[in-house]
Amino acid sequence: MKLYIISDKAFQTPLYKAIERAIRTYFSQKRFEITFEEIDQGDLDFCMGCFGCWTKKPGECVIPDKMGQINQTFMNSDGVIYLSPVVFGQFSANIKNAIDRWIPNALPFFETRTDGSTMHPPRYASYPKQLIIGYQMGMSEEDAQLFKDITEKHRTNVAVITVDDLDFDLSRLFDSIQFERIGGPL
Amino acid sequence: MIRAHKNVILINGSPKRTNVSMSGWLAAFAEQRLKGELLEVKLIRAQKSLLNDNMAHDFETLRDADALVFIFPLYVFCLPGLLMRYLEDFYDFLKTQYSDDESIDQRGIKIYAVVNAGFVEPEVNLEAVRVIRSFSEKIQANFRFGVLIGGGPMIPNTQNALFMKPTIRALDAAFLKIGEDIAGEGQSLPADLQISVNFPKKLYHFMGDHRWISSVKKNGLKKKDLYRRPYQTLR
Repeated sequence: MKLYIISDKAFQTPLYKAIERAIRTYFSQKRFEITFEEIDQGDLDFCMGCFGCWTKKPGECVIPDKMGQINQTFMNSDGVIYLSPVVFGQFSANIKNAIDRWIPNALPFFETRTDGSTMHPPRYASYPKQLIIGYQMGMSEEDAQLFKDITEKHRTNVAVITVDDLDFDLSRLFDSIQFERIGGPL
Repeated sequence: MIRAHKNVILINGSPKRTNVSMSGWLAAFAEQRLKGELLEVKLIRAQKSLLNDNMAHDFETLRDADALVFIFPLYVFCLPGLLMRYLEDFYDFLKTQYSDDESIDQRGIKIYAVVNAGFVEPEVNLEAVRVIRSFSEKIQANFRFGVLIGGGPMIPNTQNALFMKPTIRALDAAFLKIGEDIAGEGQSLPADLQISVNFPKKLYHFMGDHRWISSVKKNGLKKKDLYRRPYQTLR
């Protein structure tokens, strides 16, 4: 089983290092093949909203940088963990760049979900199971809730958790998630 | 009572590299509605500021303003990465350049968020407004309210059509409200405003989907190419 971990190189705090250690320990014991991706400022250009990934080179970002390789590794993993600092209740800029530039993996069309909201349909039959871990020492309850809402209110099959101090135990959470490919809506 | 003159900065947070964007259109629209005897309005493009490495100068301008209006598109249900970089850097600038005594809260700067989405539901922008609210709290500024716009990309090209008049009137009213709030004492906190295009959702989706098909054909590809799966081969 392949696990891909995407993290922000610019926010490698003691809390980040503790979470990273916990992930490595747990998934190594489970015999996952782990690939770490640390994104630093300048590694990825910003998504420029050109939609070239839908109309010029469908399925691939047209900006020639590391993101092509990240999307390829993402799509060929069984599980993906985003390890993001919580900044103003959102992903940090480095992680948000990777998420913005993930959209080649969806189709451009609109579809109405059962709750009446709109979403883009999946491009692929299945995707890796995704978990987003937001970390920040002493983050406010409002920021933690906002960080969860951004994903949980709008995405399907993506789990979110926040960690705000060094006294954490993620093993029960990891036990509860099947890191294997899943189909269905995005 | 004589009201004081106020400096307003409109920050266009669109990551597009051209001048043409919905956020650019909204910023120009806002400038027209806001500028007047009491409000002096200036436009800053975050993308240009980052690209030209002009941020220190622009951040001084933001810090000296009475009100900041962030106008930006929704990217994957929250702020675009480019605008996050801009806010992170502005926060760091304030932290490193100024002592606590000089912090922004002494001046009661007012902050507004105007967010536009390609999806027709304006409420999809709510979390992005909350991010701007959180940012405002972190720099000890005074977040006021947000304007949530659904179906944004349709507005500029159809602004003169009869069916778009209610939306344009709603935008007019929203920026008028922002202007009044900036000029006023700010005792009560207005609620967020939600604006959507007055257009059937099914037809909006149909036209949007058709646009992708015609765009891909203009690029010399076929409709079936839209469905390519370039990363599927390895699994």
